[in-house]
Amino acid sequence: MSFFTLRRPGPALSPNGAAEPVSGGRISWEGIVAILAILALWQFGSRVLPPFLFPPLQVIAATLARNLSDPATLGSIALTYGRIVLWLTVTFVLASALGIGAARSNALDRALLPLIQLKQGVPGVCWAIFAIIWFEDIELRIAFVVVISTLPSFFFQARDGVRAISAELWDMVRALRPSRWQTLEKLVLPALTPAFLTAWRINLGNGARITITAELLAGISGIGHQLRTAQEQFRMDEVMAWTVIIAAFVLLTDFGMSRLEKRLLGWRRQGEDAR
Amino acid sequence: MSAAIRFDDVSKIFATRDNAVVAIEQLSFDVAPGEFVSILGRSGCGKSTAVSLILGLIAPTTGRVEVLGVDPRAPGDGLRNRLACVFQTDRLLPWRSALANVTLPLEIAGVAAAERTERAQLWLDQFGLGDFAAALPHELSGGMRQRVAIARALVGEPEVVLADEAFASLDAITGRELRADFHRTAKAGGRTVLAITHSIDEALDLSDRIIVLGKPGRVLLELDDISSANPTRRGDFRRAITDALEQSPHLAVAAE
Repeated sequence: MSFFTLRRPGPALSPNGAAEPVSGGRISWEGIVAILAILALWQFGSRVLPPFLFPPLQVIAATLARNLSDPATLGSIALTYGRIVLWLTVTFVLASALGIGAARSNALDRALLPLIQLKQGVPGVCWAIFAIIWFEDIELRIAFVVVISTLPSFFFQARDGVRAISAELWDMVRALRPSRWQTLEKLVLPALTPAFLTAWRINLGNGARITITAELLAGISGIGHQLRTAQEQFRMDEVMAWTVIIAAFVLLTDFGMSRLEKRLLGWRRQGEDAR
Repeated sequence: MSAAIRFDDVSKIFATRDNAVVAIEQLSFDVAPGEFVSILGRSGCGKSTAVSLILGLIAPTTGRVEVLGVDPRAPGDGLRNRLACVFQTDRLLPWRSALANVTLPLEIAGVAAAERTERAQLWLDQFGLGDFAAALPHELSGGMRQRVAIARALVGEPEVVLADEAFASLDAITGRELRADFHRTAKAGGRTVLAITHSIDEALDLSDRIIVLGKPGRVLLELDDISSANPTRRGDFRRAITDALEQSPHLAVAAE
C-alpha cells in the first residue's frame, strides 16, 4: 500500500483551473528512483556544504522524530491540522450553499460571479495582509484567509455540478412532487458527490498551504509559526522536518480521499462522468 | 363521473429568441377513470408537451389542465403518488441500485423503510428482476432498466399512469414484451393510462381509445372501442390514422 500516487503524467485541471492533486495509483519505479536520487544528492550536499544549509538526513530524521513525540510540537501539529479541517468544512458548507443557489438562480449567479472572479484576481498573500490589518484575533485572521482562498473552488464545483444534472433527471424527480429538501437529498447532493470529492482533494492541499502561510505571516501558533521560528534560528533540520509533516498531511488526506472516492463513486462506470 | 385527465382548451406557446412556437393549440380532451388512451402523432406535434403539462412541469399558456380534479401546478402534494410517468428513457438515478430506484417515490411519499423495500421488491419480482435488486443501473441492459423504470412508476399504486414513448428506445422484441408487461400491470386495479406514442401498432395493441394529434397539438381524429375491434375494423382504424397523420400540417410558428 502506498500513499504516493504518481501514475498520471501531470496534474489535471479542474473546471476552475486549479490543479488537482495527483492520486489514485501506485508510485512508479521511476518515481522511486527520482526520490532516492534527490535524497542522495541532499546527503552528498550535507557533506560538502555547511550543515546549516544542508543538514544530514539522519539529523532531519531525528528532529522529525522529536517533533512527533514532544507534546508541545504535537500540539502545533494538531492545531494546524485542526484549523485546516475546521475552516475547510466551514468554507465547504458556505460555498456549496452559494454554489447550489447560484446554479438555480440566475440573479444570485450574476451577483456572485463578479465577486468570485474579483477574488481570483487578488494574490493570496494580499488576503493574509488584509487579515493582519483587519483582525486582531489570530484565529479570525487564519479563518478569513482560508475561507476566502478556498471558497471559489468549492463554489464552482457545486455550481457547475448542479448545472450538469440532466434536465431529464430533474423532471423525473420533480414529477414525483418532492419537497425542496427531498430534491436536495435525493437528487442534488448525490449528484454533486463527485464534484464535492474533487473540490475537497483540491482544497485539502490548497488549504494546508494557505493555513501554513497564514500562520507564518499572521499567527503565533501552529506549524507555520514553528517554521518561522526555525527560519529565524537558521534551523534547516527543523524547517525540513516540519515540511515533511505538512507534506505527509497532504498525502495522507489525499490517500484517504482516494479511498473515499472509490467507496462512494463505485456506481460510476470507468471513464463515465458522474452525472 | 369526473375525468381522470382533462385538457380544457389548452394552448402552449414556447417563446424563442425571434418568434414563438405553438406546441399545443386549443387542445381539449378527457380521459375517463380506468381508461387506456393513446395519443398518437408525428414528431413535434406536442405529445411530450402534453405530458409535461399533465405532470405540472410546465404551465399552459391558456386553458386548464386537471388531473384527478387537481391542477397539477398547484402547490401541495395533492397528486403525490397518485400520478406517475414512465419516460422514453429510463431516467434511473445512476448512484442507486435497482431496488433503491424503485423505492424513490415511496421515500418521497414518506412510506416507512421496511414497507417500501418490501413493496419495491415485489414489483421487481413481477418484472422478473427480483435477483437484480442490488444491481446498479449501468449493470443492467436497456430492457431491464426500462422495467425498473416501470416498476418505479407503479410502486406507489398511482391512479393515473403516463407512458411517454416508453418503449421507443428498445429493440422491437424487447419493446413488444415490455409493452405486454406494462399493459398487464398498469391496467391492473383499474388505473387510468395515457400512453404517448408514434407507433400505430402500439396504440392499436394497447388502447381503449386513440387520439391522433396534428401539428400544432390539435385533435385530428378520435377512435373509440379499439380493444373490442375485429381485425377488419382494426385495418380501417389503421388507414384512418395513417390518412390523418399524412394530412397533418407542419410545425406552426406564431407571429413574431
